[in-house]
Amino acid sequence: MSGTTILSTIVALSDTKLLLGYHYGEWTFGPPAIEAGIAACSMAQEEFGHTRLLHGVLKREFELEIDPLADTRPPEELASIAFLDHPLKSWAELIAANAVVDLALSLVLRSFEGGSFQPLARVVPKMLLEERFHTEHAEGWVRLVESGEDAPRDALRAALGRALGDMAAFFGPPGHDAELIRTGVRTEDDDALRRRLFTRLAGLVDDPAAIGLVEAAGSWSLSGEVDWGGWDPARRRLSAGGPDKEMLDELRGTKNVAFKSA
Amino acid sequence: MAVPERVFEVFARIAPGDPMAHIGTLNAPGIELARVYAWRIYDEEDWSEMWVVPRDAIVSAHPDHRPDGEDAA
Repeated sequence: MSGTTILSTIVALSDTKLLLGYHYGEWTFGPPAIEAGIAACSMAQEEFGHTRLLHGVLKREFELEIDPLADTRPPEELASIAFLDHPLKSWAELIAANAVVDLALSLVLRSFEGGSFQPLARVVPKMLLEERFHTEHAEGWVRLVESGEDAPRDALRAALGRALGDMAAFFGPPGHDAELIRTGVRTEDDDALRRRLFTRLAGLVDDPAAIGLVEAAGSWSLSGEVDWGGWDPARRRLSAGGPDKEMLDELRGTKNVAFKSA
Repeated sequence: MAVPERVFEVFARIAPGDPMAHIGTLNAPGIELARVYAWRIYDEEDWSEMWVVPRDAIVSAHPDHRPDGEDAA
């Protein structure tokens, strides 16, 4: 039970980081400033590096074959957050992915840092060291856009709201990961991390309600009830679907498979 | 969105005892992003320390270059 949940969590982390890296890479060109493109490219490299680290853990500890895991699984089997399913067409969406998805994954990683699953706990500090700058990049941009003109601010708030909704689903129904907490594998459960994420985002924007957050009894949550009935624990989603096939083919280099070394 | 840009000068040293060296410049809308950009752009060395300084915060001490822009002569 515990092993399966560790496994599915690491697969979800690596799948989502792979997609996040792709989107960062796509934004090497096109951001508002060349410096932001360099930062996006750099974050892409780090997300791919983290994916490789996590794949290494999956291979060594769970004897998973990485090539099929990364290169041939159909889109509807990937355990990545829905917000990354399609090309991020605006800088607002890229910043929302940076501010919500990247931060949320770091929160999950941190919950393993002091836990008992050493193969992951050992590699988490290096990843979190690199993630510090991802967070600073996201927070810098959110604050900048929040203090600026109406149209970009509204676009960013809409993107943040969508990302938060999908990320809330990724964290799953309260208690789904109780076994990992009980056995000391993780130090904080997904429900607590979801609240921590909401609190961080609420503190970044002038009007948390504009990104769908409401406060009650000192705790932030998304407005509206969530029906967890359709939640898929393997994919951490409330609904079917997956990344665009064309996007996934580009990420995987499917058209260039003939050049792949044996 | 028109991002208001500022110019930042970047200084760094490799070993703690080395002199701080000017290694380049960058444009950023604020100090928070300037820190991120500097570390990303000038990553060719294993720096022990790096500073970003807004160019408009630098004051010339040369007697020929007065801070008010007036000609010292």
